[in-house]
Amino acid sequence: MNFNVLLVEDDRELRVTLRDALLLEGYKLITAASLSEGLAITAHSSGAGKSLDLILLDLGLPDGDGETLLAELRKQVTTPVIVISAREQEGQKIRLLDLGADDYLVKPFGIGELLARMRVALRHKGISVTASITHFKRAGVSIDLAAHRVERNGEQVHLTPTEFNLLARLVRSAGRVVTHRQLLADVWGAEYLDHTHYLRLYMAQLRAKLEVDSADPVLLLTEPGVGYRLADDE
Amino acid sequence: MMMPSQKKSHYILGGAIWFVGWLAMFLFDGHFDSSNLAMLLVLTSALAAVCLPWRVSLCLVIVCVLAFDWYFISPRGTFTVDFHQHALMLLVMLVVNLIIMILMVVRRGQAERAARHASEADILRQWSDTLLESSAPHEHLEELQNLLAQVSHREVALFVLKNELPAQDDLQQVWQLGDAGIEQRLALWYSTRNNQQLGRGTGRYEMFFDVYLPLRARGRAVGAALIKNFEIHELSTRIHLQAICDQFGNALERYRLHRQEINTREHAQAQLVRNNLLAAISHDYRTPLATIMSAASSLDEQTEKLDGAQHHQLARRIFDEAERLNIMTNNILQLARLDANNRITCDWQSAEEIVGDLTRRWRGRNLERRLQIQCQPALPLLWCDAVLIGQLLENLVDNALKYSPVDAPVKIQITLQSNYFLFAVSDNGQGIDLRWRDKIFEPFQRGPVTDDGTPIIGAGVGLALCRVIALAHGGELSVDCPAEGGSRFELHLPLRSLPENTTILTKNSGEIA
Repeated sequence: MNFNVLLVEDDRELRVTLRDALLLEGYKLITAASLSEGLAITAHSSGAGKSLDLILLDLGLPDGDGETLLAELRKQVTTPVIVISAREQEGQKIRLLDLGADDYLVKPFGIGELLARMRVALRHKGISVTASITHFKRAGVSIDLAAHRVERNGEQVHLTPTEFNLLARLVRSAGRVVTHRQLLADVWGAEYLDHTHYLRLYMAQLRAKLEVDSADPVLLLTEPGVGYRLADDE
Repeated sequence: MMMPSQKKSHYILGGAIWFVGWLAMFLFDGHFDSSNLAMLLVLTSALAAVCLPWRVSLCLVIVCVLAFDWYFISPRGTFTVDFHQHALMLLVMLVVNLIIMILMVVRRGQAERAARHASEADILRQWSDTLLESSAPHEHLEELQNLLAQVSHREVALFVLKNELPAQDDLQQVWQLGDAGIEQRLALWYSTRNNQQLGRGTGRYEMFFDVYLPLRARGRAVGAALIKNFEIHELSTRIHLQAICDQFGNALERYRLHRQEINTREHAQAQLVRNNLLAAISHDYRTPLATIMSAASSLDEQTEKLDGAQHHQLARRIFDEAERLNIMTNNILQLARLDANNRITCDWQSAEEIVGDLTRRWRGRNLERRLQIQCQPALPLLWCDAVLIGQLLENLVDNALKYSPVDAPVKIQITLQSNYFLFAVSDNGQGIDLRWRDKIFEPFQRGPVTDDGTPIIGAGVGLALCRVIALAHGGELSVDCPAEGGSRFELHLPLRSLPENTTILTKNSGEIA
């Protein structure tokens, strides 16, 4: 595993701790402590072919906001970005995701969670939304999008077209959070952006059909105030 | 002051009295002698003096005495007088008439002054009532202007400070009513700053045509009034105007002092709340910090003596306590946020989903085995802020886990009542003493104390936040301790009907069971 990871974080303790933990896992680390440093490294790397595979980005940097870097980055490259921030306002999370962040983690977080999110982001790297995670398997549920086939414990589950579309949208981003907006726009259409109640009702239907206990879901996870996340593929 | 129409009727009445008097004298002429007729003249002139101005009366008296001499004193048709007694009679008549006149004038002056004082007192009393009844005197500026104009019969401009006197003249700092030129504004500022009357008849700046009256209050002025083209002799009116101004000045000053007092008190109260809160927060933080510190130092200093399992256990303890600090921090942040602006972002949410997310988080802490969730099937959607309701439930569950025996279950029930959602969190703990039940929802209360007096570290800010969240949703949070033991927190959230188009969606597509 020879992934190049850029860590932009101004707090020295956290930077060192994360660096050591990630080095242990076999990642190659480049660290930056400020926005300008981060911008310089990303500009340099995109020019010099020594590409970055993943960026871990803190928002509150001493010389500006990490959002600037994200916006700058998204003008040209699709390198996955995971935001790590102490800001936990849902509006902010949604904005970052819509701006092109692949995921976010609110400080404080455990290293296990960070590693899991990083694995997901790296797997999605370079894969556009329309292509092609078409198979999914977890907790006794297997989904084959190409064949329009959903099975639970080997038995076929019948889904309505809308339920299937919703599930398919989540499968394509398996392991990543998809905002309410994105789901409504992709499944129902742009004019349904404020119809979140559709989403709730269909999600309840899907859970009833796919989860063992819909009040304790293990597949279709809720990100309160932000969106939904299909648990990562096994 | 008499109105013109009143004056006219007084002249008519006075003329009529004289006319009747003369008519009577001509009628009685020949029947009575001239000295008796003279008595009639005295009576007539006394009566007429009551209603006619003194100058007119004086002229009339002199003319009538001469006319009486002409018509009734022999030799008639001349001003000459035959007898000495007639001359004496005419002289006495003149003197008596003059004395009556003087008395009348003095009396009438007194009456007029009394009437004016009464009306002034009446105006002041009404004005004082207006100011007393008003909660904010500065809302009556226009009334003050009108009143001054009405009393002085002049054009009036007002200048009232919005706050304290600024160091430099600054029109932003005053309310101005009525027109005032540059010089007049300077004079208004001067009058306000020095708390002095200026202009005609005041002894200062006598060359001004106008008079400036400060709105006085306790040794300083809160503004000034400009009375244009005021006459120097209207001293009593000026005194009256000044009294009206002073009443306003005092009222405004009282109002400001009152506001100041309230602000000071509120500030002190806020300070107290904040200090208590900070003390409570620091206290709550110290316990997890103590655990973290001892576990971490144990890992650091006793590394060789610890086996793998102990190692893991200590690390786990640090993780758990850090998680607890995190929850506490989120609570405090959320409380501050809701306190600052009571805005919540509501949306249609599924209760099942909110609880599902909660269970997932407890699973991370290996506590999910103690949770028993009963969720009524087919619940309608809930109009709420999912993050806040999630946080509320997390606090209630955290509390329940902490206050009940280590392996006792905690029950979460979600049901639909006739017109509200009911979220109930119950535990098998020792329950809550009756006297604590209201207090535990206050921001810096810390539950009951153990037998040896040390407080059981409790919700601290947590339950206060829960109640704030419930209220922000138009709901209620209460606690009850059933007879069989433990405590049961109930959250009631109002039910709202879904938007219309959902039913259409259901009918048309037939997708929703």
